[in-house]
Amino acid sequence: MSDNLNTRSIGARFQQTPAKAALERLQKLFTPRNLGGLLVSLGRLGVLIGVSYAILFPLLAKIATSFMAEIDIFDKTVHWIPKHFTLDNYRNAIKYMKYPSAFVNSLALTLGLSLLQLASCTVVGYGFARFDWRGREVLFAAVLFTLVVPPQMIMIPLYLNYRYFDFFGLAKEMQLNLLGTYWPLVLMASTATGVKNGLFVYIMRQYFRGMSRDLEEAAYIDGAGVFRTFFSVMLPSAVPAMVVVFLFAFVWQWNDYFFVNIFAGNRHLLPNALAQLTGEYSRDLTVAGTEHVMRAYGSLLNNAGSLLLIAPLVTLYIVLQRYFIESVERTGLVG
Amino acid sequence: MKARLSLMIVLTVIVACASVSMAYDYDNLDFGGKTITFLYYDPNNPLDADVVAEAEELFNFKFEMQVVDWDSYTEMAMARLLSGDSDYDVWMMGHPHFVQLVSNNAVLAVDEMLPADHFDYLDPSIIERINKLKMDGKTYAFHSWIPVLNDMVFWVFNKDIFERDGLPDPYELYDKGEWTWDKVEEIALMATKDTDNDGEIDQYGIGEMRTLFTLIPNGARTVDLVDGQFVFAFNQPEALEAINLVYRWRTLLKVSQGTWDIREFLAGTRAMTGVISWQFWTLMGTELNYGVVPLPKGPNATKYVFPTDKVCMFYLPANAKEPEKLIALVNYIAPSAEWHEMTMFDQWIPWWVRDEKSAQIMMEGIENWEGEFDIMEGTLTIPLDPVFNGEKSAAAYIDEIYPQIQSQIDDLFKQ
Repeated sequence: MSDNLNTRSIGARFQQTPAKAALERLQKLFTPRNLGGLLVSLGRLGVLIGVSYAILFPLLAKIATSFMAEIDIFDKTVHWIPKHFTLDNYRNAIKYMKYPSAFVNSLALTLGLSLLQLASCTVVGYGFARFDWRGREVLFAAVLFTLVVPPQMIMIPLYLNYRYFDFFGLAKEMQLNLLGTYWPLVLMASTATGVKNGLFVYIMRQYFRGMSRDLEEAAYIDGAGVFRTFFSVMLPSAVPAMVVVFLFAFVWQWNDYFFVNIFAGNRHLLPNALAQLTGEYSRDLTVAGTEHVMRAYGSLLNNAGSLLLIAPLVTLYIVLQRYFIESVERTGLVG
Repeated sequence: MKARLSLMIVLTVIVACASVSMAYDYDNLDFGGKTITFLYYDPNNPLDADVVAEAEELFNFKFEMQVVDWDSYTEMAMARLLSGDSDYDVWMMGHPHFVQLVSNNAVLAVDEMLPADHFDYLDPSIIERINKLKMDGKTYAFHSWIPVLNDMVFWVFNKDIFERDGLPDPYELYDKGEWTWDKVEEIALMATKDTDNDGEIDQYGIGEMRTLFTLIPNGARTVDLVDGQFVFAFNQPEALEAINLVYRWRTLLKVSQGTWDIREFLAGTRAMTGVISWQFWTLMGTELNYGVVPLPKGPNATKYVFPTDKVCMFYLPANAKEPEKLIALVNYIAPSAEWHEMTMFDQWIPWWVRDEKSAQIMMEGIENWEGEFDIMEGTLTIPLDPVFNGEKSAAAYIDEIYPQIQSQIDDLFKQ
């Protein structure tokens, strides 16, 4: 009996034309339930493409124009692909930014500051998460408040603080001028007050709060002190959040011009070199007047310079993409 | 007789030269090896490097150019002043920075320090600028490195569009004194069209319209000085007309559409647009066939005006040590009146324009400039979008925001 059935169904299958089979498959695919899901997916795809386009458009436009000759900018028929492809913008940007030395200096500074920020924000975050002390909530609100304060607003006090540095009021008679050195940046990074450090403290605090207390309590019962518990038990478990903090710190510190210009404006670092790019280039020209570099060429040069500035970051992101996304997910920064 | 005449000429030249050097005592100018910091907002150093190097050697100082971006300039200047680092500073700044700093007593009044003949050797446009920037009758600005033409505002038109669409010649209208808002509106209406018949407007009469292009040409300004106090003046009829014109062209008639960087005009899809002179550096690199005229005059105007957008000058901080010496140094380093004239008339204008008439109009602009600029331009942000979008009438909206803006002005000038 079952043999008959199998033979019949196989025979029926063989009798179907390819068009009929395709139709059947489509019918199965477009059930009302599937159709709803498909529409949602399409909508989501549309939103993702739209958002990606909005984010990537400026970058793609910069990449396209960085390979253009000046004449291409004014050619209405040139939209994305240059008619006069050139690498001159990059050559000039590398030459006038003194890119290799600026790169090495920036890399050393950024790595150092990022590690310091990571260390300080982790300790501070742990303190906020695990210890009860008077004024904790108020101070934490102040930490969050630093995220919304524009840097210009704190520029004067910061400048004065490091112009007459008295070890945070501890040695008032010994005032040092730290401007023009890396010390203000190092001190800010070491005390969790560097670029966007409020956010990093928040991330670490949230992560530590989400960790089970059992581990800590077990360590305390085994006789470990606060530091031992922190270094041997809590830190190894907080690696995902630390990776996020380190990557964010690196990216923001790398791109920071504001603080670098105030405290170390005389140092040969990439953001300073980019800011002075057209100025350096114009010094080689002999045209009189205040506008030595034609604005159009200045924008091409700046586009190439900006891309050279972010190139290491893009490379870093491509190499560490997996860790970056995983860490962001694990720390609960995304929904 | 001839010999006597020659002797007279030689003596006259010697006396003239002597009077130049008498203005400043360069022989005794010595800074004792101090570092003099020029605080500036643009990485393109506009000062002649050779002259600076020569001055460093002659006057025994170390030149330092500290660049800070435009938006942080005021804070940096204030920070340097409060820290005491600015005692040998020279501030090269725009008028919005000056307004904020002077109201905080951060800028030095230099009336007592300027030699009697200081103004004899300055370009006339610099003297106009110095006078316009006086506060409470005191002089603060004393020199400039930028020729006035750099920030002058003009109106450009695309000659090819005008020829193709048979539009009236702006040069003729200008010569007849008829280059007015009404005429420009007529032209803009004719020029705004769908050129490829796809049902969408792709050519507009005018690029982006701003009050920068309408206020001064109608005799209006943002603030009036009444009994020594700055008073918000957007409720005056001439200012309301100027604001309404922007609304009319942008929203009501839809003949104006564009962005501040005139990219649409550069792309050949706008018949006319207002430009600030530094935008000619971009225009000159294009293939566009354009002409230059003044901003069209409003019904309240009696003549064409050529307003400037920004006014950038040299100043000294309030705690300047040896200010007389610093002024003398700046006078030595800053470009001469001859340089200003040569740069504008022999270089920029020939580079920037496409025909003689445009050059003539630009020259008229420079020669007739009487310090027309709005001290609040770039200093105070007045959100006029509800008017421009047609949500509220200009008069009603200005009445609504008047107390708020006036209190901002009071805060700014500490009055």
